[in-house]
Formats: sequence, C-alpha cells, structure tokens
Amino acid sequence: MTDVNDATPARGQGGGGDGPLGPVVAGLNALGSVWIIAIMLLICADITMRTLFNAPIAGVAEMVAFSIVGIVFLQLAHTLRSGALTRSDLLLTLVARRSERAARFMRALFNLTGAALLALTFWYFVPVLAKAWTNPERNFMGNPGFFVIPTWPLYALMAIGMAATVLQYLASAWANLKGRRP
Amino acid sequence: MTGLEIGFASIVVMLILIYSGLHVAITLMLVSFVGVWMIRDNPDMAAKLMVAAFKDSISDYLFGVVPLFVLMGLVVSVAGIGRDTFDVAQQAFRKILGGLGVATVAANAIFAAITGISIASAAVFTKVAVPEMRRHGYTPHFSVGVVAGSAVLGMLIPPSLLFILYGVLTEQSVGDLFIAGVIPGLVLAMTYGLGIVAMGRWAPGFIGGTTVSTDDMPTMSFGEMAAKLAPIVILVALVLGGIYGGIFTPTEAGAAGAAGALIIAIVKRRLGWRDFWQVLVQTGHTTASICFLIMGASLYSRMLALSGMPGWLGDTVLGAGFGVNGVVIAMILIMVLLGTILDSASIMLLVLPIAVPILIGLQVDLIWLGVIAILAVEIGLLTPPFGLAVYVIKSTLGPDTDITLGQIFKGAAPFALMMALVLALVFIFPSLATALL
Amino acid sequence: QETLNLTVATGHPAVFLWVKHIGETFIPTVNAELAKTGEVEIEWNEAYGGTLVKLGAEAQSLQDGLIDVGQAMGVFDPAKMGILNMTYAMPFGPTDAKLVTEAAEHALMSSEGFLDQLADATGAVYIGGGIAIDGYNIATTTPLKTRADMAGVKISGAGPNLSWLDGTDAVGVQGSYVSFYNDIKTGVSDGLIGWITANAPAKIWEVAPYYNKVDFGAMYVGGLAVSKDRWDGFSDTTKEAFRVAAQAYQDAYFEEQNARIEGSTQAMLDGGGEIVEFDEAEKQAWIENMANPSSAWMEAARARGEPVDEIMAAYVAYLSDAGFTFTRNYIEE
Ligand code: NA
Ligand code: NA
Repeated sequence: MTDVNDATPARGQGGGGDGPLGPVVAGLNALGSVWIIAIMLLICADITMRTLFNAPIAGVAEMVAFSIVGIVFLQLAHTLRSGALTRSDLLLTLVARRSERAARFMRALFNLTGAALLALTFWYFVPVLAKAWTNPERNFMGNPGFFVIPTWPLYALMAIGMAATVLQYLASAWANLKGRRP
Repeated sequence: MTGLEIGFASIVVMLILIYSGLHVAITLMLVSFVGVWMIRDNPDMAAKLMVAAFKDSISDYLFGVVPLFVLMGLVVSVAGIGRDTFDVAQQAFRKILGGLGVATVAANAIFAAITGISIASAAVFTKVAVPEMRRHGYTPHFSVGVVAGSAVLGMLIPPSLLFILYGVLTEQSVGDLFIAGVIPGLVLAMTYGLGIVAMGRWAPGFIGGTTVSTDDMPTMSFGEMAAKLAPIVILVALVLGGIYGGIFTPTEAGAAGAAGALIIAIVKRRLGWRDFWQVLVQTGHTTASICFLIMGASLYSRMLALSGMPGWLGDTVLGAGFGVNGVVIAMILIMVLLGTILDSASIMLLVLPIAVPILIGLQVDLIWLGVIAILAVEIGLLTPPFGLAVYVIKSTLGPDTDITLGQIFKGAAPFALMMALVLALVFIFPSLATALL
Repeated sequence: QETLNLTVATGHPAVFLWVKHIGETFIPTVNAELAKTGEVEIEWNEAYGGTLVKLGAEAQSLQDGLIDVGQAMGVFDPAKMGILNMTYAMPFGPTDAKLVTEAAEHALMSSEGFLDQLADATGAVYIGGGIAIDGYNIATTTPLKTRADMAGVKISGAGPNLSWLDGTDAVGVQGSYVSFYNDIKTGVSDGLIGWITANAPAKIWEVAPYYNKVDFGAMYVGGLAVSKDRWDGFSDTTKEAFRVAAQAYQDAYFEEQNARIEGSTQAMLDGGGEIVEFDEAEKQAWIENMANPSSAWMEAARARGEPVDEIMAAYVAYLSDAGFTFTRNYIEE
C-alpha cells in the first residue's frame, strides 16, 4: 500500500504554539471533509432515485452549488496552515540561502498581506451576511414551489472561514517573526 | 492612468508578486482590488467586487464535483490501484525508454472520456502516475510534465466543458463540437507519445527512467497482470458505462467514480479508516487551494473586463483588416497570450464574443474554429505564471513535496510546444476537425 | 456638456437576443436621443456574458454600484426579482410573447408605486424594455400526444419549469441548455422543456426529434434596469432618453424574435424534426390535476411584502381583455 504520509497536514507555518487556533482550524476542516462525503452520497442518491425509481431529488444542483462554497471556506484556513496554498518558492528559497532572516521577514510580510486582504473582504462581507439573515425573503437559492434554501447559513460559514483564515495568516506571520519557520 | 494602462500594468505587478512568493490567489485578488480601485477611483466598489467574486465564482454544480474527482484520484492512489496499473504498464512498455510516460498519456486519453474538466485529470494522475514514475527512476520534472500535458486531453476528447461553453457562445451544436474534438484529441495523444519516445532517444537526461534495468525484472504472468488490472478496468467500465449508458452525466460521474473507487478499495481491504481520513483531508486541501485560485482568477478577469483591455485587443488586433487566416492567427496569439495570466473559461468569455462576429463575416467554419480555440486556450493551462494544470499538480502533490512550481512548468514546456504543433496541424488541415462530421 | 461613464453588463452572452439588442439597439438609441439636446454624452463600457457579473447576480451588482445598466430578470434571480416570474407561475398562458410582455408590464405598473417599492428593495430601477421567451414546449425522443405517452418519460428542465410536469407521470430532471443535448443523447433524460429558438442553435432535434406542442405559453423574463443611485442622479431628459431606448430595444427584440421563430421551426423540420400536437382534452385533464403552480410563488411574494394579488389580478384582467382566459383559475383557488 502506498503511504499517504505526504498528505499529513499541520507541519506548516503556524503549526503549534498558537493556542486554540489549531484545533478550531482542524475542526472546521473536518466539517468540510465530512461535507464532501455528504455531497458524494447526495449525488449518488439522486442518480439512484432517478434511474431506479423515476424519482430524482429536487434541488441537488442548488445544494451542490451551495456546498462547494461552504466546503472551500471551511477548509481554507487549514489549507493555509498546512502550506498547501499555491505559491512560488523560487525567490524565497534563493533569499533564504543568503539570509534566513530576510526570507522569514518576506514570509511574514506576505502573510500579513493575506491577512489584510481577507480582513478587508470580511469587513465588507459582514453586512451581506447581516442582510441575508434579516431579509431571507430576498436571499435564497432555488425557486419557491420547487426547492428553496436560504443563503444566510452559507454566508455565516463563509464569514467564519474568512475569519479563521485571517487569524491563521496572522499566526503564521507571528511564527515567521519568532523564527519558528525558515 | 487609463483603464488600458492599468490593465497592462497589473500584469507586470502580478508577475513580480507571484515570483516573489505571495500566494498566487492573494496576488490575483490584491492586483484586481487595486486595479478596480484605480480604474473606478473607488475602493468601496473594488471591495464589493471582491465580495461578489467570493460569493459567486465557484457557486456551481460544475465546481461542486471538483472535490469528488480529486477524491476518486486519491483513493485510486492510496489503495494501490494506480500502482498495480503502472506495474502492468511498466511490463508492457518495458522495451521503450519513457514507456511509463506513454502509459500515462494513454491512461489520460481513456480518462478523458469520463471527465469534462482538465483539473480532474491533473489531480487524479498526479496521485496515480507521479509516484510510480518517480519510483521507476523518471526525473521529477518529466513525471509531473507528462501529467500536466496529458491533462489537456480531458478537454479535447468529449465530454468537454470548454466545448459546451464554446457551443453556447457561438450557437454551434455541442454534438458536432464533441465529434470534432475526437481526432485532434487522439492526434495530440499520439504526438505526446511520439514526443516522449523521441525525448527518450535524444534527451534521455530530461526524462530519466533509466535507473531500473528492465531485462532482469521478473516477467509477470498473464493471470498476474489481469488481477492487477481488474480494479482499474472495473472502475473505468463503471464510469464509462454509466455515462454512455445514460445512467449519469459526466458531471455526476465525479460522485459515481469516487463512490466506486471507495467500494473497490474497501472490498480489496486496502483502505483503513486512518488512510480514508487522510485522503479526505487532502481532498479538501486540493479543492480549497484550486477553488480559491479560481476565485482570484475570476476577480482578475472581471478587473480586466472593467479596464477595457479585451475590447481594445479585439478592436485593434482582430479588426485590423487582416484576411481570414490573419484573423484566426491573431485570435490564436491573443488566446495564448491571455492564457499565461487567465483561466480557460475567462479567455473564451472575453475573446470569442469579439472574434466570432468578425470570423462569421469572413465565413469561417465555426466547428473547426472551436477546436482551434480550445487548443489555444488550453496551452494556457501549462504556461507560467498562471497555469492552472500546473497549480493543480502542485497542490495535489501536497506541501511536503520536493517538486517546485518551476520544475512543473519546465516539465510541461515540451508538452505545450507539442500542443502548439497540433494546433498548427489543425489550422493547416481543417479536415482533422471536420472529417467525422 | 456632461460626460457620464456607464458600465452595462449581463450574465448572458450576446448570442441571446435580449443581450444582443442592448449593444445593437438600446445603446445607439440612448446616444441618439441624448445627442438631440447635447446636454449629456455617455461613454459606455460593455461587459456581456458574465465577464463582469455572473448570471443571476445582476440585481445585486446594480445595487452595489458595480454596474450601472443591466437586466432585471425573475427567472434567473428568483430571490431578488421573483415578482417578475409571474408568467412562470401561470403556465398554459398565451403563446404570444409580445402579448405576455405587455400584460406583465401593465400588471407591474398598474399597482400604484410598486416599481418604486421594488427599486427601494433591490437597488435596481426597472425602466421597461420587457421581453419574453417564445412559447415553451417539450421536445422528446418519442411523440407525446396523451398523458399516458408521458408516463415514465424523463424530461429535463430548469427547476421552476419542472413543476409544470405535475399532473402527469413524466419525471422531471434538473438541467439546463448547457447539458440538455448530451443528457438526451446518452439517455440520462428523454427530452426537455424548452423553446424553439433555443433548440435550434443546439440542434436538439438530432437527439429529440419530436417537438410536442403542449403550449406552456410564452414566458416574460424581465426587462432593463438601471442602478438606483445612478438613476436618481439622471436629469429628466436623460431618463426620458433611456425610456425611449428601452421601448426601441423591446421592439427590435420582438421583431427579430419573430423572424427567428420562423427560421428555427423551418430548420427543425428540415433537420428531421417533427411537430406533434398534444391532445387538447388530455391537456385539460393535465391542467386540472397539476398542483397549483402559483401558490408557493405568491406566498413568497407576500413574504417580501409585494402586492402580488393586485398584480396578478391586473395580469389576468389584461389578458382577458385581449381575449385570453386561463382554463384554470390559479390565483383564486
Ligand atoms: Na473529456
Ligand atoms: Na498559463
């Protein structure tokens, strides 16, 4: 059997020493993982019901469209934490050969940039969430009479995911500055 | 600065930031945010556009099945189904230098018949083929380069989401487009195969794969080979049969394939709980990483739309009064250039509405043009700085891999060149696309 | 002279008639109207086909000020613009797209102050230019004349259209024109709910040759809209120019649509397609047995505080004056 240890997470930039953030981020990630399996089962159930019983499940398209966004935001912070967000290591590696400190400083700066950008988005996103919560009549996916799902639970998950990612970026930057990551 | 200048300046800034090591998705978002702010002189609006991109860029059934295709690939890999398959391929191609590369291309051509998205092919074969090729002594850059290159087949051989999008944008029959993609897809697969064999002969250092001496390897019996191949054959039959037997759609095939792979792995007792959980975690990482990139790319292409750059390109280049061939070549060049910085769908959305009316006026065969356009935009999957197939491979390899982005781009480069060659062939011999119609 | 920079964007690409005539008719007419007084000139930035706003996000983008001009469409944005979906909630209506549009726009405007209320709630000002999709029917692999013919037949359609299949034993499969052809070809479904000018470019008859005239009716989808903040800043002459252009847009749309319906029908017949007339008595039985298609939609509109009863009464009355009566009284059940 091939080993999946290369997939083992949490050896990343913020790993350890950051209090409750680690478990929270891992918990959100686990929720997203279970959700992926749920989507698989939902689509398989739809195929089965349609083919064998002439009774497809209404709203699968909406539920899948809803879910993928939720899954991505639940898992974003953990993806960042484990170092799986795509970046080019070329210059960072070259700089690190000359000066460890300079490379760490660059990483910290990049992590702070990520934190700032997502914090800004979060700031502008909260009113959207508030509106979806107070006015669900105009904030849903689907069609009345066929299938309807309100958007506020999704927006709430997105906001949580964004907040967790901002904190993870900050924790990673802190770890860079403290020298825990080259 | 005019919108146009901001559009061009954004490319330079993006290049610098990406190569400096800022996360690619963050780079795209930051550059777009500042770009929109400058174009509209309104930071408020720039932030709202970013929120819109977060909310609706990936909110679609199509993206919803991305994790399921990734999951299928990881299960095939972790349950050793991929390894078994490649052991047999190694046996079959043992006389050829680069044989596993050829096997990967062939396997991708088959997988292309069950997936409509190249992301899926890239994720699946990164897990299935790359470890096996490296185990057999191939160089890291060649191992990933083959996977990146042959992932393109997923969009050329039907079903293909890009052909569907092209059909919608140009009012052409999707059925005709699918048929038109078959021969060019097979020609591309063969070109890759020949190219690999040629590299094996004239540039063996580039591909490696020579450390395993094949002569003294024990020969597998026919029964052994059949036993090793059975799981993958069952899985492919399940998915192909399901699609072409009308049980499920190519999109739903992600779910059916993932479930099928899980069942096979469990029946063969090759998937414990711990492995299963690790597979799920990594599925999530690849999905989140790719989808976050797509959000960034979507935002960036919206910024470009606001800057007026695509319209300017269309008016000045496509409308310069060239003949038919001149306009088609200009369209190809624009698509390949935009392919360095944008995702395939965005390029088609930006360029085709400008190019197609001009080309209809020149009485171009729009089915042939569709094949040309798909080939041109798919080259962008392999070219830096924004090459989605390369990014999928990088994130599927996981954070602890020793393979860098630069190595993947390097390994993919010969395949991008071979794509350009096939593109030229379809351009010169239109019957490659239209013969089956 | 004042110069305005306006961004017009849609989720659909310009192959859709309702987008094509924004660039071909609406914008030139606005420019021509404004040129008469010369007070205002507009620099247009056009971004169609989802390059700037995703399909269904147009109203939100107008509200956010990301775009200035766009489309207010009920069927693609049921949450924000659900009230524009009135004809989808009233199937088996008239097949004349222009009549349906007139009735719908009349109904929206007849309720005093309603369009202002909608603009306040959504940030999008409806300026007219309403359009409708040509009549919906069912294309299938086997001819459908009776409800018995429909039993067990899998029919693809967008979510809200599938509700219309209630009252028959047909099986609704959710999908869109992006997937219809392939789904029918492989056998995932046996047909689709659609309209002829969309079937034609996709050559749907290659896989589903029977075009069964069940006559769900033409469906009003919405009209043109301007961001409320922008609109409030327009002078009266500018507003008038936009309204005149919206009317010209509507006229051009219907003119080309009529030509396309004829051309598409001919293309289908030439391509081996066949028109099947659905039995009238069977259709009445179907309509009787269908779960009320209006009630959930009206409930949703009431929840949004919209005067839906008044609007629907005006819609039905307008059609009645024009000589069309629904065989079932959906709204008073
Ligand atoms: Na394919
Ligand atoms: Na590229």
